[in-house]
Amino acid sequence: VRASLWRLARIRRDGYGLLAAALLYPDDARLARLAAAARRWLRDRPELSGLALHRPWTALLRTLAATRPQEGPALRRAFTEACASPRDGACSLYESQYVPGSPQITPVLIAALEREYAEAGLAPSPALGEPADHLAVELEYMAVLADREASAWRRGLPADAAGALWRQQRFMRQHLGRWAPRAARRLIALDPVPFYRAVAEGLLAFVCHDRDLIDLLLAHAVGVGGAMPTTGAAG
Amino acid sequence: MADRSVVADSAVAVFLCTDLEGHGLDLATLRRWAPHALSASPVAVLPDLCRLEDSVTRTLRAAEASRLVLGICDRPSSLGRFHARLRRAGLDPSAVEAVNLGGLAARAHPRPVATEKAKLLLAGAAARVRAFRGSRPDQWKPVLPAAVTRRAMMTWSVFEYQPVPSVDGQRCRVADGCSLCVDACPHHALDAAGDGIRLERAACTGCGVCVTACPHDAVEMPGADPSQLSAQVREVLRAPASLEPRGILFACAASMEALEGLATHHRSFPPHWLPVEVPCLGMVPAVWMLAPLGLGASAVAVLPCGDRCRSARQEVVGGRVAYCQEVLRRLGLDETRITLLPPAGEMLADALQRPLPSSGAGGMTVPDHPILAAPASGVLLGLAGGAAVGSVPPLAHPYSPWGLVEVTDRCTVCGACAAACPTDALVVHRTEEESRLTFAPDRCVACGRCVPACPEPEALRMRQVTDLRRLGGGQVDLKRAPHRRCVRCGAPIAPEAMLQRITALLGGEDGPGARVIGRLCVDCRAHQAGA
Repeated sequence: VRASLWRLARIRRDGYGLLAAALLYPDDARLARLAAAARRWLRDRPELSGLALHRPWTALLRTLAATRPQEGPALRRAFTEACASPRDGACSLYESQYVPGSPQITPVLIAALEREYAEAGLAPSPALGEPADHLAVELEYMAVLADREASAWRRGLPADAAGALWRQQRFMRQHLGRWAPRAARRLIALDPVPFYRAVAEGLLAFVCHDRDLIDLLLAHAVGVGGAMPTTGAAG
Repeated sequence: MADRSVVADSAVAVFLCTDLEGHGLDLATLRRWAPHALSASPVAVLPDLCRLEDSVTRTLRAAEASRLVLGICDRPSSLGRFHARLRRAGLDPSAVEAVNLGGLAARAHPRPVATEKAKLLLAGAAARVRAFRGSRPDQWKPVLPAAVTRRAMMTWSVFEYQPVPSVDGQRCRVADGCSLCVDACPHHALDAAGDGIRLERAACTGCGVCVTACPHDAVEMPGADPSQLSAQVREVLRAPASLEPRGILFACAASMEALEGLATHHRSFPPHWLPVEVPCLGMVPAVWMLAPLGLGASAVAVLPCGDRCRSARQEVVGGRVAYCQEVLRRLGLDETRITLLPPAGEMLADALQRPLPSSGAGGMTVPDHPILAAPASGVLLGLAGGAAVGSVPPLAHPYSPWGLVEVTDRCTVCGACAAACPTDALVVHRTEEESRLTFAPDRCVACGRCVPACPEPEALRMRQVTDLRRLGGGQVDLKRAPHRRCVRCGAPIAPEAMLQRITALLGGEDGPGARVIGRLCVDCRAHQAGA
């Protein structure tokens, strides 16, 4: 069972990583990497068929896998219009835009996120050029936590797995799970090109599903010997 | 209920398991009957349908129908695996109705009767799945069954999915103070948080009680959609089949197993009972129990799950059945046409043996709108039919879904009750000349929120009463209060009754405050104060 939990954590890690990359500016190199990753996933990972997110996730993978290099300019235009435009109704990819009290609250939120990342020994990469509340950064953080969980399951350390899951649960409840579904719905409402519709629907399905799955897995991890962390230092 | 369109592409395909023939169904007859009667295409008989092997799911997918009805031999032993196989084939499990034709028809009744009953079960399922409006990712949560096998865990088919409600922010009236869904939830999973309803998903069991508690049709949950259930009830009652009379049997998933188990234990039961499965009987309001009688059902039975009920709604369900029986009695109808069945076993088998009344509604008609939806009073008035509605005495009952609000002379028409009313049964209309408090009995859900909202002692009371005459009588004035006018400019100040009450509170007409408030409007008081 632990082996399967390890595999599930790795799948979730890769899912977060894929979504993070799909929500960054779609330069040609990134699109090529996304297409290759999606093709690999479709070839090697049939396991998700049992999960409720199978349909939107498969649709996302097929869309990513089918993306051709010549679509790059159109996708960059679409991304800019939908997510990087100051116009009303655009889909912001920053958590601070979804929190009441913005923009006054933004520095407080950024500081809280940086503290969260620092507690896990992480910091947003300067090369990315995005603040700590960018959707891709938060998704990538979840990918790291899922990777640590996978590692713990593989080494047979349920307490460490529970710690990583607890941190995922907390981050999901305090940050990602509170606003990513809203951002996804906003993007869908913009009726974007099929590429970004698939990304938005995949994001919505994945985050909604993982929000509950993490609760379930944490309860399971505690049940098989992992202790519930009592401080923020876990994970 | 607002009329929301069913997904346009609602082609239905029907597949029947070959093994049903051996269990006692005439599959050739069903196959000839279904395409025309159900407007279904394709209709096919498949070997090993119940096992949903890959070859089968490939066939299902190739049908290219957005909705499927599967006639199977038994309830799937693992719903999680069953759904996982459907997903693997690219099918949405919530757009698939699996009908246990083995347990409910083939093994329970002789072949000709079982085949006729199967027609009705399939017709109901097709109507239900056709009315399915789609689900969203946030309406499902994964759960782990009690026993997890290593093999299941390795393939993730271990995860089963339970529907959870979502709230349509545009219809929800929480911002106006309504939180009826919160109050109704037996698991305390809902919370009114500012301008929205928040769901504690881990606490939710998907019972659907919140769906029917919402008077604004704002709570949605796959499997508990009133439109789907309404469509199913209508269809099993009107579909062509030589099986009369017909009774509707409401059951939850747990009690349905008990019903299906009767055939397994070689206990036959009359074929006339046609089950309609809901997530929990606690979500079935009294009007749902009454409505089928107006649509031609000979009887309605409610099959509870007893002590297994996770929502502890036995008392509520029993109370609603008792209310319905009392309603029938008042209407001069046979009260036993609605019954509460014992949960399982020999007593259930015996209770089901009671013959159904041979005639249908006997002149009762229900308006041709979604029967399981607001305005629910139409169902009751339809049942009353030709009866002199005015001669039916009001029924005071703790499970009456309607209430009556009355006010006394102490009412000042301040409007606090109307502000607290979540259904707009109470409304204050203000004009230059007067303030008028009106009450629409068919909108009142007897929540009682108006009572504590009233600031005046003994000015308002709400009784949980079903009064047919009042339900059909439309909106009434509870109090009209003419406005007193400003002695300086002639503008309205406030209702006379309210000013008299304020005057009394301020120590009588000689008090300095009362002299000003009772004579001048707001603008003139401000002007006087400024001068």
